[in-house]
Amino acid sequence: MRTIQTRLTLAITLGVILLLGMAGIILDRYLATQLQQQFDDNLLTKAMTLVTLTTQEDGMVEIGFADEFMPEFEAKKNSEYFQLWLRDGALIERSHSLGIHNLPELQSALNQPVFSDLVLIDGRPGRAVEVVFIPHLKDHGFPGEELSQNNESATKTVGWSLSIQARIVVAKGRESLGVYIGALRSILFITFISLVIIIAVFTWFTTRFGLRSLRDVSQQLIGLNATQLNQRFVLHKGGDELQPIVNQINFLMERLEQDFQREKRFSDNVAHEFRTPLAELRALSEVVRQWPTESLSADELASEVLSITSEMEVIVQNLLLLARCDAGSIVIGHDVVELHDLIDNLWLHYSVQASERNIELVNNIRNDMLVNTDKDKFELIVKNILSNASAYSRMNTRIFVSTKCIDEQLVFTVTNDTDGLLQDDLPLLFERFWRKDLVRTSEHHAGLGLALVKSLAELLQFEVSTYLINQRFQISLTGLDTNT
Amino acid sequence: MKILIIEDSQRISRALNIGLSKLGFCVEFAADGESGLEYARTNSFDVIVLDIMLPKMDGLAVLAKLREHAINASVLILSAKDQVEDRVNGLECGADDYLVKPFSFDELVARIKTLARRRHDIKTPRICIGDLIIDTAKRKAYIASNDAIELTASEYRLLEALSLQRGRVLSKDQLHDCCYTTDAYVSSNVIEVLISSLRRKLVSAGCKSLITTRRGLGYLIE
Repeated sequence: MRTIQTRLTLAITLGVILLLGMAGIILDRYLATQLQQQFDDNLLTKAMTLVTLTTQEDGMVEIGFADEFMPEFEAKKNSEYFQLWLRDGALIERSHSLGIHNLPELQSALNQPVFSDLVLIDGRPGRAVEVVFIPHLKDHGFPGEELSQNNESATKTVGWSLSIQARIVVAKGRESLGVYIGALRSILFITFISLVIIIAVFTWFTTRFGLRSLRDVSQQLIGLNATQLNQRFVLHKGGDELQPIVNQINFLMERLEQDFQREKRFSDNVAHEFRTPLAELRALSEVVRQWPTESLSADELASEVLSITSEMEVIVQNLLLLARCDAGSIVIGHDVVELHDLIDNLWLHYSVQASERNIELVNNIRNDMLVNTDKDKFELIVKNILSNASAYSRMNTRIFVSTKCIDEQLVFTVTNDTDGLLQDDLPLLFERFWRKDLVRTSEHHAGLGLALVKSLAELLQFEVSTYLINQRFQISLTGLDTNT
Repeated sequence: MKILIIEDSQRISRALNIGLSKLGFCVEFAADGESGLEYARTNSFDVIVLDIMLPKMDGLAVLAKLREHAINASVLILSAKDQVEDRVNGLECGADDYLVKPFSFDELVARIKTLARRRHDIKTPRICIGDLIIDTAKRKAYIASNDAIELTASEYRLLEALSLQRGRVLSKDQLHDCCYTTDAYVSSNVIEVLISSLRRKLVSAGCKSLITTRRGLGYLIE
């Protein structure tokens, strides 16, 4: 499984391998060069010692070499070698360790030592240095130093010849250098591997520790199922970086729970709105069928059936209209509506019922008020608002219908006195099937009226707002288009 | 058998009233939770048919109150709520059965009868007392291998009440509650008249001295 922990560990380990690898290579090159330099210096020093032992006198060059002082040139095992020639190639001296063999000439220039790897006569890998020099006069200083100061005056003073040049090659086995470099590389490699392993293990445990809060949330999420929408996530093991994520998940869970509950309420309400009238139809029909002459008369049954089906028809029509609003499949017409007359005409539907409870409508809209909108949809909106107002107004009160202009926008307002409505109810008013009366006893109000008002108002681009002050309820439509 | 129906739909109440009464049940109605609870507390019912979404008091709250007041009538919830969790919730609140609307009237009657039998710990719909067989499903009484005894609805309810609680003395008031609704206007000696009529019909059918009178206490079937 490609977990964050695995990926982080792999990435960090790979990074460390690259970094340490590069550092190791650089260090290896540097130390190997330094060691070789040291080896070469050592070799050159030895060559220069032999140079100082080489003298000339009367055109003759000789070397004052004594085996006992430099036994390394005499050793039978791991011995070192030197060979001294004149520049013209005449052999002057060679170490006993060379026997009859010769060292190679490296073609260097005067006072410019040249180093070279080679295979020694005993088969060992070795390194040699060649120095071309002017041997100094016996019992005098180093010709090199004088030459560097003033060649001509030195020649005149001491009288030695610049034409006599000698070449010396000193060689020794380089296995010690190889051992040092090998040891160095082994140390570097072991250090490299150890560091990589330590860092990988450390990263593994650090990321494991650092990700424990994520694992905790993950476990909580895994344990979640559709019946546990009320569950909220808690960070038990720190990890403040995850807090915003947990907060967001909790927020979404809450929204989901609310939506789920609303959906459930909706389906419950749909079930109730349809199952109850169906149960009524079925119960009445079965009873009449079993006792045709002793229960309801045909007229009574027909009247009940008509009444039940009419109520169901209204619900179905409203639900279909809401569905069409949701789908955006309603075509909006353009009409001019005489608002005052529309209110008066619509009120006729409710006036009889309202007058029984001594509820009166006060239409404060100007007679010449014209509104540009879709007449049918607007009528439905106003009809539902008036229907609610007439049904839920307190007895012996008045319903006020008016318009006013706020911020250059026409606002249509219906105000009525209610009983029992709470501020907390206002956001629920437009929910489908919501009714203040939870038991849904009203046969004429399924709780879809204000949901329709909102959907249709949005369709006509009106803003719907509600207010409740001292049990006086007000619903307003803002954004009506008027010519007057 | 006496049934209380707590249902806010007048149409369903009306249909059930007609149907159950025709089948010989003694039926009482309440249109809201509060009055239903009051009825149940002040009367004795074999079965209560209870809606959940009721005015004034929710059906489940009514059920909780019934159980709180140790009213052990069998309760059948009759609701439009059809989700499994609604049914589970209803049954866990103390209901004995749950029927979803729309319902078959015959199924409702069968469930009511089953609840009544279960309440009196009777496994079959037939109660046999000597030669007398009372078929609670068909709501008729027979003498073995003979035709049914012609009984009025009140006489049958009286016989069924005594049979279901065989061995127990039932007072006149208890028998009255079993046979008549609270608002029924009947004379004070109606139970004596019914007992007398029932004994006469049983004797003429060949079943002698089945109902015993305990003076000052009431009646029983031994």
